[in-house]
Amino acid sequence: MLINIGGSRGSLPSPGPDMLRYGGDTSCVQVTLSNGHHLILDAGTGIRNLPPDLGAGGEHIHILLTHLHLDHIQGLLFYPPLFDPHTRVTIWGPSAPGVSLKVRIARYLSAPLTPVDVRELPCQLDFRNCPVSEWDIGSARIRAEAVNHRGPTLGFRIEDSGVSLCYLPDHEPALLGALEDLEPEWISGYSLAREADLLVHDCQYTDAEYPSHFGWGHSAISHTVSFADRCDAGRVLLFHHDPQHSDDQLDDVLSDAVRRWKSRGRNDAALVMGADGDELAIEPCPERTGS
Amino acid sequence: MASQQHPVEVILARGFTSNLATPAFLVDQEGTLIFFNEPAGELLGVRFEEAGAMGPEEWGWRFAPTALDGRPLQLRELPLTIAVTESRPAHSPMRIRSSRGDLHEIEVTAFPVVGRSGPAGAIAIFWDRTK
Repeated sequence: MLINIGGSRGSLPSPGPDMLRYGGDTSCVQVTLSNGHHLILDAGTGIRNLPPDLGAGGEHIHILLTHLHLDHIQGLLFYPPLFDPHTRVTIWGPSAPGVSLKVRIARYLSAPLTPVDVRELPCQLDFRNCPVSEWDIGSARIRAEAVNHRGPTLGFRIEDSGVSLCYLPDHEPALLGALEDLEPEWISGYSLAREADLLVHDCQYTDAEYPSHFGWGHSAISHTVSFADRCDAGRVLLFHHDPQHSDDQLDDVLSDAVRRWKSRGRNDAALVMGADGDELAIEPCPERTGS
Repeated sequence: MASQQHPVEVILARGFTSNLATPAFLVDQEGTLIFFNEPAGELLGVRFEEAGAMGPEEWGWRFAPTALDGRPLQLRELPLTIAVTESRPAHSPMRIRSSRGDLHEIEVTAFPVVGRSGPAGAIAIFWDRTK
């Protein structure tokens, strides 16, 4: 599996001279599976940075939405394959009682908020609620579970040819208390992230910022590190950067994370700060494979 | 290895009940008492951290629930059991005996926790009728 980060920012697109290294586009990750097919995780403004010709060869494109906050869907109407009548696209997302996924997305992507209605998109588009059980797309087996964020929100675990990716861009596992003190069964997202070869996880706040954002559905960096450690993630990609955090501030966040990670006896090379445009191959965790 | 992770609705229910000032129980879909909060611990005379998780048979008799006329209540009659097994809210006055031997007259309201994956457990809130 290979991932290409279209956008790693959270909450709000944040372009500017202080955001050039990590980028300002909101959440979107392209996953290339071992059989060459692609999944797109979330459709924030970063979706504009993905290859515009995905699906041109007849490939069925699957977009998996963790939830419907704007920073995860705002790019949908700016993604060229959705305007190609020959392209098949399925949008997967969390279910909600009594209202279809299509109707919920159309609430945002319709007048007066947008010039083009999602119902006008010319591609062959369908909407599906993510199943409660695992399902297959291409060579991947996918599991979606609700995780702790505001509103119905999913995390995804994607397994393909012996490697695993866990995607938790918006997640506040520490809402219940210190993660060190909780049994795993009480940690939101644990079963999705357990021993994932790559964990993509929310790192929105510094520890100093978190108290004034308690309950907003995001993590402080110490929570991210603690969660990854408790779940025994092989590598961790820090994601969903706060729109106020400049490149230099994100460097500081990474330094803080590395310090905390190393203090747990972990290899600091396993921590990566998400940056728009970066590509990362997902490989089996060497500590678990013994290589 | 710990048991399987609870659904997020149950995790959030624990967070919710742990912050309530009213006594509350939380059971999973099998009826296992997986958490009760500090006010419930005060009422029952034992903290959850001391008591730990209990199967339905254990918590069903441990606090010796009776009707107000003294008739012992069967497990299936308890609001929490009804909420889990019949997926509907239930309410009942009753007496319970704490682990200290005190008798409490309480009212119990229980309701199911239904999540994205279906029924996930139930919450019971206790009201002490003597206060």
